[in-house]
Amino acid sequence: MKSHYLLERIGSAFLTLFILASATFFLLRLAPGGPFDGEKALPAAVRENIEQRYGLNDPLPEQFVSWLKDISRGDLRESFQHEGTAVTDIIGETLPISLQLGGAATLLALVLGIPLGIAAGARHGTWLDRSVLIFTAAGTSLPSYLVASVLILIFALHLQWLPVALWEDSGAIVLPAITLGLRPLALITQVVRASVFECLGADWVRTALAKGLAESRVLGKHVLRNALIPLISLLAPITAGLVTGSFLVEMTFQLPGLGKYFVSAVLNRDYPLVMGVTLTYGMILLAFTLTADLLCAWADPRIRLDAEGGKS
Amino acid sequence: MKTGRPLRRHAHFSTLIALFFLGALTGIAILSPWFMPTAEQDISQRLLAPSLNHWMGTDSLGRDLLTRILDGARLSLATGILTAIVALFFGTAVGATAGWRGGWVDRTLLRIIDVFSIFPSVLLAILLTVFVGRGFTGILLALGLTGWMQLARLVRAQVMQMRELPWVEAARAIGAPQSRILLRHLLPNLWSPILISLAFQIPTSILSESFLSFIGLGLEPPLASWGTLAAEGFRAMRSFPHLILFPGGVLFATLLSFQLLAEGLRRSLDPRDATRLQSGGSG
Repeated sequence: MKSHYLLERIGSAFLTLFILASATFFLLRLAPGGPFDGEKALPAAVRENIEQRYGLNDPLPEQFVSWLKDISRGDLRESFQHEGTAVTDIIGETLPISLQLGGAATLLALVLGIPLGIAAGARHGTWLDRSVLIFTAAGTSLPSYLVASVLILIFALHLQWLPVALWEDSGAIVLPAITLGLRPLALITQVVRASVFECLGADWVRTALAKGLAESRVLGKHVLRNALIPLISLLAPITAGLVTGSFLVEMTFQLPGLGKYFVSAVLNRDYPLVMGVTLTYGMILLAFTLTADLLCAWADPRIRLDAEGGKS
Repeated sequence: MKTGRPLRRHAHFSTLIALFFLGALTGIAILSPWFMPTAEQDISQRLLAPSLNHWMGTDSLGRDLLTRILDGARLSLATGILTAIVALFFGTAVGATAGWRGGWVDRTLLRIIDVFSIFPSVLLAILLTVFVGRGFTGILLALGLTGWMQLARLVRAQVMQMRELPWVEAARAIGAPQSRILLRHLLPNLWSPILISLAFQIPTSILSESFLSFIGLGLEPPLASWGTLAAEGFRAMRSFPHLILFPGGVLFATLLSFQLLAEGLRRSLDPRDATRLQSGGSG
């Protein structure tokens, strides 16, 4: 039963990834414009030669099959723009930076969000709770470029504590990570706050308190464990937000991450690079969605029995 | 239970402020072409800091920033609202079809929802704009197609639950056509989740559009939304911080207001939320 569920989910994930890849492939190819439509038109013969070399003149389905063969061998081909550089190399170079950024932001969100949420939930209706509420409402509505500008203005330009953008510097990750982490921080705080508050009203908390357990123990042990379960289901949407967010934060701070090449790759119709980046993002998201689903199933057996995953 | 009351009044108050702000903004955005001067270029008045004459300062061509922001409001609000409606339409249509038909239709649509969900929204929007173009309609479609999945899942689950209910069965038994049952009997029962989701989708759409414009892939000039203004401001931030802080700040206030409004809407429309608040308060 258990392994059956796991297998089904993994199979389904691969199917989704395959559909994503084909959809992107055809969407990109059927879009107007081509990789070699420069400002100056290339001589017809030269153009013919280049297109021949990249196999762009074959019928689309044929190109698709040959591309599938290549990626099944782990070959994402060469970038058009950055001639002679394999797309896998570009991804290998940029992905770690994006992952570092995402990791730092997640860490920040968890380390601050869980205690804030618990404190606000346990002191429901107090000034602390209200300030946290205002903070989380603001945190989910702040556009990241505004956060970025304010942080840069204060910490990099005014106080000169941290560098503005250069990645080489060791403190460079701080401002982007705060910018990226603010939204998940607000989300996590909101969810933990709500579920702590809900748990505190439960019968078993009353029982625990009635039999004389200290409030701190009830909160730290009984409530905390139950209150963190909703966080698991938040994992997938938060990762999705982080992936999109990291893309924007990288653009804002000019970080050499995975998102850096995407826009220019799309505009220049650098097919292999666009496909490579899209697949990488898709795989990351899928991996986290899958992990979240499995964790949910593990934490709450009802989902496992409800086979078709139709949770609202 | 002691705290329930003041908190709720507090929430109502913030909803009212949000409503007032958005109402004023929308009013100005709609009416401004008639009573406000357009932002005139005046090179002698370039890049001024905020003053009594120019409340938010001027930009690099000497145009009044406040005027430009109010101008941008029209575009940003319109994109946000229309995009949310597009997303709403897709979400409801796909979700209702999947939930109603079940079987292979459901499985196929669910798969499509999955595929869209693992596509980072901004990347998808960028790819789609390549395909549909970067005009107003292009942006609407591209952003609308990135934000419908959650509502589709919700509507699907609700329709699945409802179609087994006695009154739906009764409608089927007297021979009502499927389209009639869906449109007349099921959808009216879904209007509150749809409305709530619309309210949450609008700020998301405004934000996404501003990002696209910020990275230079949104609406094409001469159309200028808040994202366009912010992009201009971000480049000049070092010396002229007002150019980024004001457009960003107005965008933030708008998003926050929509968020508060949506929360207020949910509190008053979602029966589950209300009962939870009560049982939580009394427990």
